[in-house]
Amino acid sequence: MLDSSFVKLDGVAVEYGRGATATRAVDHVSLDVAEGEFVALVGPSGCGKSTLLKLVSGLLPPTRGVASVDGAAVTAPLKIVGMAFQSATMLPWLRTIDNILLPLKIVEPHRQQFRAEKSANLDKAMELLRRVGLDGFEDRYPWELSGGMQQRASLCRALIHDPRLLLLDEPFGALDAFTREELWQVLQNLWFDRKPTVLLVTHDLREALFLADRVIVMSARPGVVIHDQRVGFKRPRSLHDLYTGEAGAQMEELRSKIDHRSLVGEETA
Amino acid sequence: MMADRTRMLAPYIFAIALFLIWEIGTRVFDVSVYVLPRPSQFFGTLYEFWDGISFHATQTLLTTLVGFAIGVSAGAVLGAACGASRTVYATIYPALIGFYSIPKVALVPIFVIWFGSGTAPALLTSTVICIFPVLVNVATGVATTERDMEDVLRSLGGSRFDILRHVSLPRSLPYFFASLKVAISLAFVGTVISETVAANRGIGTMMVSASADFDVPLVFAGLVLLAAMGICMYAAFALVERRMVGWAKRDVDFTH
Ligand SMILES: Nc1ncnc2c1ncn2[C@@H]1O[C@H](COP(=O)(O)OP(=O)(O)OP(=O)(O)O)[C@@H](O)[C@H]1O
Ligand SMILES: [Mg+2]
Repeated sequence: MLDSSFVKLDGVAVEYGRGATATRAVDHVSLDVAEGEFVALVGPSGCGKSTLLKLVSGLLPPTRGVASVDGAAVTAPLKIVGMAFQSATMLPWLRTIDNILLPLKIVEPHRQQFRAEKSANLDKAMELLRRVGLDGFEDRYPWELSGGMQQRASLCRALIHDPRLLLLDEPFGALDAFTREELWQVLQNLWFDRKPTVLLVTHDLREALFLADRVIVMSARPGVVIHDQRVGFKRPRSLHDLYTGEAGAQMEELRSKIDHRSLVGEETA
Repeated sequence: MMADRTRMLAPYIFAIALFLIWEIGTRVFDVSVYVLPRPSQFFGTLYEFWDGISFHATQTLLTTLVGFAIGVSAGAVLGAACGASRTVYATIYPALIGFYSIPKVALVPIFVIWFGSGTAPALLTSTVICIFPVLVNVATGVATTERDMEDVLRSLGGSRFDILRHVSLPRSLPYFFASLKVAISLAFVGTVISETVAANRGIGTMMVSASADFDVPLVFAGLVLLAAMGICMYAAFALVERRMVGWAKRDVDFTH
């Protein structure tokens, strides 16, 4: 059988620490994501969502099971990944623009051409900044930006090298409702441009429904996948779609799964 | 604004007041020049014999700066290595502690045996005295790099060297500059110690021969000059620090 999945998790478990003090963050997680698919990951705080992203990115080895991307087991960080961390983690000694350009100085093959393509790179970074509403802030240092602005900059940094796999850990967590909805549309458009495979961690069900092809619901720690829901409705989506028609039923279904299972956790169930 | 102005002037006023009290005190209690010369006496000496004194001062300053530069470079490289690699740290750190525990004065005779008396032992003493504070600080800065920041580069497939270059080293710069301010003062100590034992020029030499001649004002002139050079160098590095690593201080700036 042809295995078409781009990201594949096969019975993975991750434990932090060893021996008596070990914390099992996720357990028995199996997941297949096709290339170009947009998958949202929801679940209660501490259930291992960030852990899963780090696992897929190769930052963290699985304790059991295998994670593979593009047909090969992940044993070290990959060059095709763009990641926006839960905390924005901008480097405070670099101006916002240089923070965003950083991946191009590290990732092959951009790294070789960084100087040669300086102006093209700069244009690209400015375009991204403009799209997330940060034009005019390129020369500021990250600590001169608000938390939400830093998150948006970190989204630009994740996108600058056109990654085939985009890992976003609550990228809009620090934003107000209005800016957030605006950025959903921005992200949807960015995704349309290049069709990267996306794993998005979020606490916002509407965000998941608006952006994702599939929503994965995880249980409380140790996190296991308890629900996998296709979000069928048409693209591009507008905010209007989110409050009318099919979305209501989808939301209802998601809610019911989360209320009944996720907060209890598998340990006690 | 007014408060800023006052704070700018305060250190000068304080220094002048100190010397004034000193001057008045020594006059009122009629202190002998052999015990504690009056500021007017040693500033007078400084002015009168400036040509001779400046010859020694230049020697001390240059020796110190060269020794400092070598020591700081060595300390920075060793510190980065210790901070970045546990193996390097575990291997050389105990030896370094042992080395650092040796009083540096004790090294001067050895340097003299190797290189003869003169500039070389003074330069080497100021070098070795600078290495450790810089090393410890840079190692701390590199070793305490936040995991999150390293992960930004690791997630892009950056090598350990990439992480060092783009994250750990820039992150340790504030530590490095803080150590420079300590190291420059120590470098003067190293030079002068060695000059007092084994040299024929430099402020250390000048002070030893002045005290042999019971020329106490000249001894104090040497001390004041050393203090002045120390302050100037410290201020210079504080300025460079502010320009280079302003990001680490943000808006909380204690130098204002
Ligand atoms: N570095 C670590 N060392 C030890 N335990 C950890 C570490 N990181 C996470 N954990 C544990 O693993 C579990 C999962 O953490 P993770 O950060 O993946 O949760 P999360 O689902 O992203 O939560 P949130 O929604 O609050 O961000 C948590 O219970 C936490 O205690
Ligand atoms: Mg998380």
